[in-house]
Amino acid sequence: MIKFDIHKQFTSHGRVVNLSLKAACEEGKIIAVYGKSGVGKSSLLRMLSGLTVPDKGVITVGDEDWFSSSAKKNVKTNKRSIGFLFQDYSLFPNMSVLKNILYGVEGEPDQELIDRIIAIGDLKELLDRKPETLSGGQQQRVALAIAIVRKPKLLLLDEPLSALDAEMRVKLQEEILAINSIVKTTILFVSHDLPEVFKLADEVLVMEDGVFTKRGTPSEIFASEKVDVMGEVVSSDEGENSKSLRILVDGKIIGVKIPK
Amino acid sequence: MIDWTPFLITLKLAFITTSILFVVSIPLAYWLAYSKVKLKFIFEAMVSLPLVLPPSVLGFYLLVAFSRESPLGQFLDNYFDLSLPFTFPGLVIGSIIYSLPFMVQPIQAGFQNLPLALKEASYTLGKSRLQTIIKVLLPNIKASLLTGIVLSFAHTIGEFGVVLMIGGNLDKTRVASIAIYDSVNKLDYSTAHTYSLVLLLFSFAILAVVYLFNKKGLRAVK
Repeated sequence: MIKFDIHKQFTSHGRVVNLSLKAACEEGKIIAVYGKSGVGKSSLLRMLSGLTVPDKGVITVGDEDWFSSSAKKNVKTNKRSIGFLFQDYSLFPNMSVLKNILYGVEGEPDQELIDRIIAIGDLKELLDRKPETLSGGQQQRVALAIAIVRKPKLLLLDEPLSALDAEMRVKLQEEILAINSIVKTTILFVSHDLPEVFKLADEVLVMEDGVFTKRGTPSEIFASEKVDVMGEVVSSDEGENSKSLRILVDGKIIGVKIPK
Repeated sequence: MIDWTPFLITLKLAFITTSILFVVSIPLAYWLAYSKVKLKFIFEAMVSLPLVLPPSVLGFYLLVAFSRESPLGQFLDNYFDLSLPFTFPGLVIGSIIYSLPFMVQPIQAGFQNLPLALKEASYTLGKSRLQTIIKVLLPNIKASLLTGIVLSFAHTIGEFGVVLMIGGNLDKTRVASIAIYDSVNKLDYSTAHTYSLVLLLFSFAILAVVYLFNKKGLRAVK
């Protein structure tokens, strides 16, 4: 079980943001953190990773406290069993793809796991290449492999597919699911993309004004037409087995099919 | 017959100064690049001071500080049996201080130009700060490191004011630039010409190497 109850105040774009976030996540689940831009979703991931220190609270993974303000404990980022997939790839330009993948592996590499991840990501042909020669989609596939190959207890994905085109996004979603079926880690991911949330998430944490206001499966959360956290529902069609919504989010119409 | 001893002393001084500066400047540049300490600007000003300070001023203060009348000079003399004025070790220390910004600033700029996400990504992959510096940051600022090395080396070769103040014009401390000055004073223009031409060609070659490698470095980044 991964549990956190953390508080943080910071200024973003001249606005004071107060985060007060509490949740418990079952191991092996994929959880989406959903909310409008600037509500602090990425800050949550940064606090869980240790890159940002909460003002107070506690983060517990299994039976280990990663952060506890009362016990004055803060496990450094490099001592936390995490994988972090950033929005902007973050591959190491001085290393080949293979060296990038092996960079975070401690001790004897699990060659079978590495081979499977390379196969799922279709990375075999890219292993000797440098990151600068890869496309955005290829770079993000490598970044996913790097983050997952060390079998972290917690995998954090910060809008990992937002910069990719629709086709590549779907491919990467499939890869995330395929890889997680092997390593079975807990995944917390931030996304603005509703189809992505439906595709990947077992559960959704809806974030508004610095707190979680709703929690449930994607269908439970988004079945209601009053989904003001994500945008305005512009049309709704009841099908036999599903309900289709067209939602206006940040000026774009997004189609979502919700199973009944 | 040209006496090449001043060039050997100059090269030895430049090599030792650059080597020590390289080791010292990496942690200093890292701290200046990433530290959020409010008084950091004071340290930045101190590092950059030799860029604007007349070399004779720096040389004078170092000479005073190293003299046996000063607390530092007495300490070095009493505990290490070391007297720095008019000696080669004194020249090395003066050169290190004088060339410090030429090594620190390119490396600091190199660190600052790297995306912060590289450092953070390395931490999330279980690497310590030292491992991150060695395996990720330094290999990605090779052009900056080379610029620092070459500029420090070249700057040490061209020193005059500081080395004259600390080292004087003795056989064991006479570097090339002082040898030129000495030759002119003796109206030995032929030797001055030879020394000057060698220094001119050497300095030009060094700068050409810097620009060549920086161009290659930029191309690699693109």
